[in-house]
Amino acid sequence: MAVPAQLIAELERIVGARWVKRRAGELVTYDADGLPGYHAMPALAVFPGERGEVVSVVRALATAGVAFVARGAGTGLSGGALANDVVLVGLNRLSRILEIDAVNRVAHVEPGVVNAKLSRAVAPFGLQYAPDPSSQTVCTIGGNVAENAGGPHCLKYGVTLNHIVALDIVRPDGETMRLGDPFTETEGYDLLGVFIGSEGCFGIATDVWVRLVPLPQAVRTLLADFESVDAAARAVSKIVATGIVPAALEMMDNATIRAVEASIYAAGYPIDAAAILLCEVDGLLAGLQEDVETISACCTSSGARDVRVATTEEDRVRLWQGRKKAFGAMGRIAPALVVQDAVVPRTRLPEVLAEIGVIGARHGVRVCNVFHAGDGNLHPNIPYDATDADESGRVHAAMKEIMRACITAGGTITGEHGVGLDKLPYMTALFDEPSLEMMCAVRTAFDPDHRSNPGKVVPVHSCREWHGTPATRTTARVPDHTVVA
Amino acid sequence: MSARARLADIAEQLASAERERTPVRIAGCRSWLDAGRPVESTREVSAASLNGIIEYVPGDLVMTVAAGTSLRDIADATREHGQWLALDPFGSDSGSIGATVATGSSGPLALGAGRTRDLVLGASVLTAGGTAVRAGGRVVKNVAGFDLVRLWAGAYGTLGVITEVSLRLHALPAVEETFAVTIARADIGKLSERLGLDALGFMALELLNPAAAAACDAGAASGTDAWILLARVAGNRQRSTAQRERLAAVGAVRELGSDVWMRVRALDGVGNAVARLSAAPSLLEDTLADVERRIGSAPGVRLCVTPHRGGIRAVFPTPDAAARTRMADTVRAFQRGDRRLAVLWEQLPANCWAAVPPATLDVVSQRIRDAFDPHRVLNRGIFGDPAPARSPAGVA
Repeated sequence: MAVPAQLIAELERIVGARWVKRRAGELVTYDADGLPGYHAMPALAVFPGERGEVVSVVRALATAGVAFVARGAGTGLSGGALANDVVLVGLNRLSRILEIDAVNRVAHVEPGVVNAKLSRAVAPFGLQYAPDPSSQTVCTIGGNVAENAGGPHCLKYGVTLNHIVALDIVRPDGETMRLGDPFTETEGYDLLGVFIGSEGCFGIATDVWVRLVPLPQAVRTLLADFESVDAAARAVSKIVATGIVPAALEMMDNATIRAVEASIYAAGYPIDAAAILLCEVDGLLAGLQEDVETISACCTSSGARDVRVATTEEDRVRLWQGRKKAFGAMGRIAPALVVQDAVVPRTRLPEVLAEIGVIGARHGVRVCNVFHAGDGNLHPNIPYDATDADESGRVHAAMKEIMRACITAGGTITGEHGVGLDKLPYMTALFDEPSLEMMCAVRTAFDPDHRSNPGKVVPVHSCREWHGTPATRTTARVPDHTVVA
Repeated sequence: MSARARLADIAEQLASAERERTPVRIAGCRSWLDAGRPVESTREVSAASLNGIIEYVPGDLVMTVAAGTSLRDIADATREHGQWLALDPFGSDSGSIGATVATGSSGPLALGAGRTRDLVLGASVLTAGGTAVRAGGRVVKNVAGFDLVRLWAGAYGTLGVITEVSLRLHALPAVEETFAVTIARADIGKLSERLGLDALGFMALELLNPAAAAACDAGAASGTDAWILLARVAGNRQRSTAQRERLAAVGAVRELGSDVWMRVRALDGVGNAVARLSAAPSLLEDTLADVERRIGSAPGVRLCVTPHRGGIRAVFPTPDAAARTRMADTVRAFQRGDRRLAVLWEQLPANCWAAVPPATLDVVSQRIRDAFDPHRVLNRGIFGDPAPARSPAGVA
């Protein structure tokens, strides 16, 4: 798409010429996001510096009828921030924490604020911003809102949706509106709730009010190791049935344990274990030890060989490092990695994992499973050599079968990474046409021209029923599965 | 009639209402018919026949039920497996889950377990034309597609008749206790400060004024101005003891049976006016003073305050015509003034609705309404439509 000269001039007038990037050499930085292997070059990138500029930029794009994609840190794992020959609106300059209201436990921030920076800023008040996606040291609150990001601790604390109290947004037509309210109940449809997780299709959030929660008085982390995945899954069920809600309950299989232990992230996991559970409880100090003992008993009675409780903070950090860097550790096995994200009902975990094993063996690929066991959120990953066409084909085929197995088990295609471009082909397997059409209708309510993040989340043919062909269709030159090249 | 046939029957009723442009009133167990604004309708479509548990796998802590299933039936089924749906909307357990979701009703447990919309994992609705639409799923974590479930929760049926919901359940805690603390009115302003941040660890925390405390037999001495703080604690023995000690710093602590919460939920009573008021928690003292000033001398008004959320539920007895006339003045008194106080009337005598400004939907909400119900036949008037001129049907 050739961006009209008049629009370029207008964008430069709004943000200053240095914040409008047009040369290929500058744009190549933004031709990918956290979904490796996909590349899509924006037609132009514009970087507003404050909310007024965001609104003016969106209005200029609306007047010109030009499609756009909003982008935070570009760490998304489903291709949601890929801007294929449309305008990219970068929000990382809006990185100010505007107000911390410690008494009401609400912070007002700009969308480009980095997740971990916010938690650091509120820690002196005894507070935290709870959602902790693995990319939290880089990813932005605006991106978290768009993707409804999760993280290991959302088992207890909830996902992004549960922590946003209000948003100021600019709709793709350039109109601004407030969704929700920082302090009071609002009447009307829950537009705030439907905006969170809309993957940039409903407009751009310019101001975010987040709920802050108290830092726990104390934290305890346990590591249990098992001779079978089934036994570990039994322990998960037992723990959940006690009524204790762990802050996190993570599982890793043998392939992942070996990858971690062979890497610089070695956490002291037993490499002969079929599976390990990493379980964390937090809250008031009083009663926490009793929870630890209850959880230990659940693990032991399910067949755990050993249950270890981290005794020092260093110990705890080390145990978590292995989990948080597991994807990186897989880089030692092969130069490329397919990352998946699916959810199955917790009781179906053992059979789905067994089936994933069978699928992997049938295609001759190695699947490393690392997942949020507490809520059935799986990340089956396959390290492989992307330059080997035969192996790439087998990985591709195995991933498709794994996704089908998760859907058949009553699960869903994404628990926290979003649909973006990556999961688009699976949406029709999950939802029937009338349901997809209504999703599209809601998108149309926010964005009648479908200019905001076109071609993502809901398959285009569903939207056509409601709105003809989107104004700007992307034809991304991308494979339909995730590949790290 | 099979479940499928009952569903088809409701779809046909909706399709014909739309063809004929006949506004319909959607009903569940009929326990909250006068919740929300008056409805203009000549026909009723009932979801009560959609009844029963569709799927319950206790190990998943997920239950899928037909929308007409009562909260009591859900509670009975889950208790057998040591679980519960941590949802306690004001009213009673005779209400249906469909109506609970449609009205977005939650109660004191929202502090610890989240509001209704946080516990609904997936849902199916029939749109005005009778088309079945589904969103969400039966798993606890899901970001596939736009979250229509959030829109349906609290939409008062104006975006379709809810036919099925999947719910997130919780395991019953090993220890669960309720404590009552007597607090002087003058000490309320400092309550949050004295309890500290960890008070957020309570499952529920509600502050009752003397009238409310008396109505639910929570132990206020009659004739005193003592308020009662009710705290629900869950977990294990040590934690419960620690929480009790924390409460003791505020006032004298007594243990109460958990049935007090059923009585708190019943505070609304029948035929009374009910408002949900909210302001920033830090303004609690000012907000309470402001609310008391607006209430004036109206007798027996029950206040139920969620201090850490800044929410106040106000129940105004309206037993006779004179009280209902006075109520209209009270409604007007709440429309004026402080913008920091949000006022939502949940239930009102029919004569009072004229005193409430009409709900206005923003353009995005209007378009969403048009997509699900282009001819505005579903619960017309209840939500974002002009209030009907005549006395509404279905209002007690």
